[in-house]
Amino acid sequence: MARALEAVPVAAPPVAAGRPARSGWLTRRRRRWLWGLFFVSPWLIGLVGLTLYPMALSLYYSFTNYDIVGSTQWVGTSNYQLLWNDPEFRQALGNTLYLVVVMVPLSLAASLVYALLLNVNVRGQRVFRTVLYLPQMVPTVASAILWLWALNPQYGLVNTILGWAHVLGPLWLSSITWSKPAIVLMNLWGVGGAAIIFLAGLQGISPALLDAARVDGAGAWSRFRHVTIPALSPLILFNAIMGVLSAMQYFTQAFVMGGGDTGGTSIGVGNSLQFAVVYLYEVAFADLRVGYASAMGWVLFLMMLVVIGLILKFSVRRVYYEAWRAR
Amino acid sequence: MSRKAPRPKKGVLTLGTRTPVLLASAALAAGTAAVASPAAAAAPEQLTLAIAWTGSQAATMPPLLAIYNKQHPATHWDLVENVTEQKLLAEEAAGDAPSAAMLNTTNLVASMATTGAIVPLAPYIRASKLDMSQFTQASLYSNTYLGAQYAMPFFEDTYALYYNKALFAKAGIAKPPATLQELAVDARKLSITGSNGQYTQLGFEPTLPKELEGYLYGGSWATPSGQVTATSPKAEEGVQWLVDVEKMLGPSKVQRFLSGASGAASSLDPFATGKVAMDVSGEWFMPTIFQQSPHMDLGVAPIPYPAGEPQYAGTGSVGGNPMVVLKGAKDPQATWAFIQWLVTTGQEIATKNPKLLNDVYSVPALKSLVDDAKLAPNPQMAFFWRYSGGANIHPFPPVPDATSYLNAISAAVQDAELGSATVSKALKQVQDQYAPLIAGEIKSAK
Repeated sequence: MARALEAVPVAAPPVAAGRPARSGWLTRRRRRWLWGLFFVSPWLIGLVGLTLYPMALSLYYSFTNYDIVGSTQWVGTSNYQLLWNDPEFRQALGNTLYLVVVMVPLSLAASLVYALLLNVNVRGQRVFRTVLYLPQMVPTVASAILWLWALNPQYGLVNTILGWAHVLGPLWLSSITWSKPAIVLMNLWGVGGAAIIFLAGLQGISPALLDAARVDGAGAWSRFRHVTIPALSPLILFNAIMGVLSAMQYFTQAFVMGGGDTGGTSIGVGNSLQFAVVYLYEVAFADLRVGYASAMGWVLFLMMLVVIGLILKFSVRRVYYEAWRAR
Repeated sequence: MSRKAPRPKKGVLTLGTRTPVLLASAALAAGTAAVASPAAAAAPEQLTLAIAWTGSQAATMPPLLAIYNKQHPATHWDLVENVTEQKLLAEEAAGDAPSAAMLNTTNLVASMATTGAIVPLAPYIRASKLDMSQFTQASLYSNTYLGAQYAMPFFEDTYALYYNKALFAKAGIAKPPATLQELAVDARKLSITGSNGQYTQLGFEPTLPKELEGYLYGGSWATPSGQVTATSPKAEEGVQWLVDVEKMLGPSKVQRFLSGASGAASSLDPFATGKVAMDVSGEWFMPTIFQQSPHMDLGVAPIPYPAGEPQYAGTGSVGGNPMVVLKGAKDPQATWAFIQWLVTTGQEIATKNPKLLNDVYSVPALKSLVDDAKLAPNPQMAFFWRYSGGANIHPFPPVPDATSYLNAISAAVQDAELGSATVSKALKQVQDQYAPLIAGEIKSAK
């Protein structure tokens, strides 16, 4: 941080007339550095106390049998070895991977479509935008309960609509096969946040670019493919990363809709909604195996790093940054 | 298939607020006079009881605490409601734990015992010469870990077969099934399919609480020494029976019917509204039934046993809210004295007081109370009370990681019901995972 500050040429404040510059250790530069440190200290304290320290502790605990109140013993890598052979963890990872592979791309596509529709200049545009964003304002637990109703196989809204088309709707949350698609469906309802980001991006695209493409004979699809998508690519990358992070930490809706508690019931039929973080919670706070849960947390963290690393690597030649181009 | 969501525990009657008269009468019922102590003159020691209960059940506690505080002026107990185990552990780790706590489920006792979060009660029990034989056998066992008492039973939940007498009469069935085979036949007879091919009435809701299907044929999920027995032939036989009943009724049809008639889609329960003829559930379900169908001709009966094996008659399960002394309790001796009073005298006061009993609406753990049918608010509750004291009542075994183990069994049974795996294969997977895990926990705790 000090080096970064040194590298930035900043005009020195005027020194009061007659006031000698301090010599010795507290040079003017150091004084400025200390002041800078002072002003960022609230954030710094938060970072160290609430993020780095707990992370370091959890890394240490992952090599112990820590259980919150008992004595803690070093167990080496045995927690990680146990994880490797834990079928429930594998199932939970599989469930989580489903969200990453199915829910994230579908959510991205849906939010982009929403944004394109909301960008069309029609009467009542503001109302549509508000309505689309409204689900974001509903508390997570409330929306989960709402969807429990909507997905009820017999009387729910979704199956009622399917029934109009003479389709016998699926069992949704009461089925191993359909419970995760039900979660995906619910998530598509709440993509207003990502859609707003895309909308902002759409409105930032220069009309001159689109006009030039049109003059060159590009059709609507061609303009979308070769102008809109490249212009939005940094936002697509951002939303993809946020979506992956969110999917890998999926908890509240699954816990509520899957009927989670400390009484030992399965989370969704056949644990089909037991995602990685849900399992982590159960292991940590119902079984009190916090050391094991910490190891699980670190494995998840490393997996997130790998997945996001892969996304970034994949995106290098596919994301277009106007500012870089201008340099 | 999917486990039933816990139903709200509500009292049947709406009674007025607590009054000084109530306190006085309860104090009289306790039959003990206030004990003056030399410490009475000094400020009483402030101690805290944290309980998992909320709502009407929690309303049982303040009058009891008031009586205790009055009779024992050296201490003053405060109550904190709706305390989760996570919060308790966090407070304990921070060195600021309440002295006594009531946990949400007995499933947590063994895990908390292995970690040392709760203290063994044997020294206190010995010193106070508390007669442990006054408690029902199953309620005591659910609060142990490897044979050592770590918690005390206060009020319990127990499970039996509910049946709708009117639906039985309509189907020409004279009495509830005595055997599991009779139950399956009756379930089919009592199920009615509508014109759309879906059930309009279900004979039996094929889910059993606390995975008590493992006990139906005399099996168990673990030995008293904590050895996992998920693949024991008798446990497997019980699960197979349940899976067969579900398959006979049709898993998809059953789920469609139950999901439409209960859960989040409706506050109405399908049994309580007369759409299901038989259901195994707890005594706490009764207020819901009485609320939704005040005129239902409600029958309760023992959970059926396998034909030709009457030694397994009266099989059932029990769970409850354990009273524990937390590690680092401010005054363990005073805490034990309080818990001892609460689970004996306090329980008696609450049971004999209609208002408090209506609030708690559970099964007492004291034998003298469960055998006293005239104390129960209705004949059905009297049945549950007596039933809880039977020899074939088994709590889910008090082993470490009981919550995860129970979850895994639940998921395995569902997999078998849906045909994803055979019963043997599904249970073997549970055995392979949890036998070494729980054995390891027990070993490391020793």
